[in-house]
Amino acid sequence: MRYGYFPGCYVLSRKLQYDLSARNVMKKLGVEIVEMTDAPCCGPAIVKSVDYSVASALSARILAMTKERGLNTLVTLCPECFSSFIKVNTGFKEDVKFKEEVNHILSSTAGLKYNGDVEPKHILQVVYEDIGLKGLSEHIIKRFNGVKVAVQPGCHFLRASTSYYADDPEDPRMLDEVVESLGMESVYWPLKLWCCGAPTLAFDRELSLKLAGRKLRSIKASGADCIVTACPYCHTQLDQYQPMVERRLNEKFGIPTFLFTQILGLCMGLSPEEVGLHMNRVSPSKILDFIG
Amino acid sequence: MERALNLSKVNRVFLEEVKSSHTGRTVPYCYQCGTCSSSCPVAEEMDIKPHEMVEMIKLGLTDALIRCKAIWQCTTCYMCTERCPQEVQLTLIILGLRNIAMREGAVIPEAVKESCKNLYETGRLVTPSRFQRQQREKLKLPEVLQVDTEPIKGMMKKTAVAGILEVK
Ligand code: SF4
Ligand code: SF4
Repeated sequence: MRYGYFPGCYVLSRKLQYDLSARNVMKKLGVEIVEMTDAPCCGPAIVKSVDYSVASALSARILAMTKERGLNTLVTLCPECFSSFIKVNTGFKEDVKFKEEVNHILSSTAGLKYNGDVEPKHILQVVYEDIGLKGLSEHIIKRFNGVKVAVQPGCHFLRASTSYYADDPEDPRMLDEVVESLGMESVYWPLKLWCCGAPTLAFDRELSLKLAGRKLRSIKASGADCIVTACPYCHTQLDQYQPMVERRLNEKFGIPTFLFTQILGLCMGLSPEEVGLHMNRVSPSKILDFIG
Repeated sequence: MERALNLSKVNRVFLEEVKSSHTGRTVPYCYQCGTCSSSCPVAEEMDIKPHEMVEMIKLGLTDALIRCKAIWQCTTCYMCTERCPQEVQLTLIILGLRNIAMREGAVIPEAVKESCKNLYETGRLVTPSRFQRQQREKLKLPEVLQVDTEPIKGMMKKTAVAGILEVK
């Protein structure tokens, strides 16, 4: 397994614990990565809001760079980057005019061409599909037995399934099965599929935090001890901004929130430092007592 | 928003313009079932509901659409697109409406200006601060390399925000 590795701008500067834990987990799993730290922004929603085609040309540029390096697969940590890449590929298939338009922008500005033939993969897929739960179990030396977890996969990983199908969009199971293989219990919570509010933070802060608050309330009511997510933005909303949401709602949550690679790494024998646990905002200590 | 239909405000070429774009090509398939709006996590906050946006495109009510708050409240969560029985790609349609709103000069949100300037200057939306660079080094994470920004500059100059990019 040899993949291009694209953590995304946000992870590279603001979510170092994801970059760190993902690298350490992949090393343990024997996945070889090729650095793409010179690649530009993927063209996420805020750029798509300005010009959808230009944003797509940005995504296509990274995919073309991947191809130039002799690679066919690009691994992302951020579901937003993942979705940007996927939507170029599916958009090219569904709409030839779009493919021409994006390639025109790409060739006139970067001298590149992109055919839609690099496969974007989210790191959750690398773990679940390429390594597999059985392969994974050989690396697991500790478990979080009995810990109840609210799983938050991230919208852009799941939708829309009319264009690509990563996991069941109405009842996602991939991340749930991974955490269950680590001894945790994935609990039902009604707002699991809802947006965490991160994408509106820049446009409407109050609305964004309101959406995060709704999710945290739903999680608290479900009896979960912690949250596990595969999205760096969900992590920021639910972990870093949790105290702010608590103040706004005048309600205490205190729910530790992990990137799934942090939990996975701990169960593979990595130390809390090696998965960057000290960079999480809400103290995870009450969960760590369960590991064994 | 004024709910009565004011036909003097109808823009008859608008539907054609939207329909011919990649983001708007699924507009004609909408049959107004309302599934999108009942699945949307922010519909209750919106001045124009998602299903209404599609009908308003068909009716050519351009002005109201590109000036409404709702297109900026959408979180791009793709729930509407997921559940639409007609495979209308409503999230893309809303992104397309934002593109038109900016092109027509109706609005350029502050957050967009800031992000686009960063993108133009550095090739990234966010770049590590000095502290974050030091932190990366301490954690033995590879250095974040500079991006070749020339292609991005060329791309951004083609957009509606071109005018605000050179001013720092
Ligand atoms: S769900 Fe689809 S068909 Fe129904 S109103 Fe919304 S866009 Fe139209
Ligand atoms: S993508 Fe936007 S309009 Fe569609 S359901 Fe999500 S928030 Fe609502």
